Amino acid sequence: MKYNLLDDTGDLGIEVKGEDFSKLFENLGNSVYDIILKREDVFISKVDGGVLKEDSLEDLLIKFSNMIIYKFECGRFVGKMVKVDFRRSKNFFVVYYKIFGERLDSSRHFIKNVLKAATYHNFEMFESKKYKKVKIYFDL
Amino acid sequence: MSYKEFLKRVDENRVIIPKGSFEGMRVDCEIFINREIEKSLEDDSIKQLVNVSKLPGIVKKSLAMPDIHSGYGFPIGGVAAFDLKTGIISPGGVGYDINCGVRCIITGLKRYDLKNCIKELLTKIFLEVPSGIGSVGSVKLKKNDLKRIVLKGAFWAVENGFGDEKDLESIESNGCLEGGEFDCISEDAIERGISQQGTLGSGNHFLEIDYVSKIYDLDIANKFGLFENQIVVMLHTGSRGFGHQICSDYVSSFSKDLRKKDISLPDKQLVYSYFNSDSGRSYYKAMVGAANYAFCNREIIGYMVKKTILKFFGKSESDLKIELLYDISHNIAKIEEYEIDGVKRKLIVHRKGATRAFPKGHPELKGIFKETGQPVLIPGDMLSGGYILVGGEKSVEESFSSTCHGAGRTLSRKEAIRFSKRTDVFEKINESGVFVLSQSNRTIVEEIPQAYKNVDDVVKTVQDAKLSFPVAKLLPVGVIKG
Repeated sequence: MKYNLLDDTGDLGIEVKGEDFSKLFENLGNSVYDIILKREDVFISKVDGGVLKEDSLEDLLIKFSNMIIYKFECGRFVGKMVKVDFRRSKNFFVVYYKIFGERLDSSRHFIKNVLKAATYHNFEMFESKKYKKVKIYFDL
Repeated sequence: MSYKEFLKRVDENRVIIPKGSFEGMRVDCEIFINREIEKSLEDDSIKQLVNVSKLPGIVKKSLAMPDIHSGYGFPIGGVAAFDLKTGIISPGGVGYDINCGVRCIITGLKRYDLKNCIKELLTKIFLEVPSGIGSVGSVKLKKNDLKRIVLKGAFWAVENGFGDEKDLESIESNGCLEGGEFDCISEDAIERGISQQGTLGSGNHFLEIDYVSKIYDLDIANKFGLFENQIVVMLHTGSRGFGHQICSDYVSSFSKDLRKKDISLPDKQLVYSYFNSDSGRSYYKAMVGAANYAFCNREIIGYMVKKTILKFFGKSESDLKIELLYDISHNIAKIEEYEIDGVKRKLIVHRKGATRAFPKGHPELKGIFKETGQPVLIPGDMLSGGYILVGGEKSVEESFSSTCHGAGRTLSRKEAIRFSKRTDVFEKINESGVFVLSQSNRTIVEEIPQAYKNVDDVVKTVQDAKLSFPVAKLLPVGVIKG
């Protein structure tokens, strides 16, 4: 899984790719965890899952990123691996996600950055037959 | 195309972009900036200022302070006022950290009192005030407590033994904005807010022990209780995850509303709703709730700091003369009244990375501040220190009673990290004699002095423009970075 960090005066952005939308969401989730902490230190002792639905892909990508931030801040839950099943219906885009990880343990987990919110600032999405790509900036 | 090409210098402290320079501009753009700072002005932030000038109901000008830099939607350092009846309110004009602000606590201690104990004192405060990544507060809240904080702001801290009643008159809006409504706040925001009261947070939030290195206005300094070599504490924090979640929630819902109406924006973070609409009023009530949360947060932290200092020296409050000088907000939207073309109008003034700067005699000021003008607290970088200013006579007519809020970043965090690899940041900090503590070395590297503009230049501009005037210069002796 590859991602690029993007420069921003105050905050931080990422560019993530995936061969399809399920993979794009998975890579986005894993990248967000990669920015927050050293993922190699995370064990898998808990699985957290859910469903998110939006009528635009853009909103769904932002909502998905914010869901990870929320789980980290409120549930103290950190992920090692994210699995996503993406579906689209006539009116909605839906992701079924599972995050494999554990509760934050400050003695073992090295936190690199605290992301406070995913934003629409300079948001970009690119879609081709070969791959999908998204750029998201985060408020720190 | 460069936006800079459209700037026209009006005088030594101001440039404008006249209405009509870009399609859709409803008013002029004006930046308070001198020639020196103009060199570091980013094109992106000018573009954002122009975008703001296109929003419905904007009054007079789209303004920016000399510490302008690129933000989300509105530039940081931006000030924009909208008509309450016909204008909009925008979460992008307030920022994610709603009511991020600064508090200054003055003491009777002198610089030499801390000469041999600054490390010990700062470490005690560091242990007492939760800071850094994911910090959780020592103040345990129930949902009903949060509900009352949304309504009562800093008063909640006072009634629950985490603050002093006399502090309230030295807080902008007495530490409480009217109109907060719990029902307008999501469960996610409540969940994030419930554990974070009394925490400093991370990023650019800090707590500094400074000394007064220079007095510029002796009369006002005396009235504020300031003197040379005096120890003061400055702290910078806001509404933590609570405000961030409220901003995220409303950016998302306003974005959907605008899409339904087929309204496209030059920048998605500029989403808005008309103030006089259900969704606009709902955001305002939630934003007020977050602003009150932040007032309460700074009151609790201030109280913790005060108690720690008193315990450390084994003295009483009256012995050490510890009291709040002032507490200001620099990310907020407030309803204020201004005379526009001879007619009094109620406006919703957005200050994003800008500080209210009421001059002396302003009807909203009370007590000593009515005689002097409102204190304005300007942090600089962690080694150069900051300023205590006072609201100037031109602020009301020129800038909707606003002035700058700090130095303003010039390097991104990534650039700051790159810069730090070329120089030994920690050696430089050691050489400076300033004792710096942080939960994370990375935060220190990201917040290096070189990442910020020169605060002296920023203050000189607002002084020359008569928006605010320096009363005292502060230099740090100890810094806790969040």
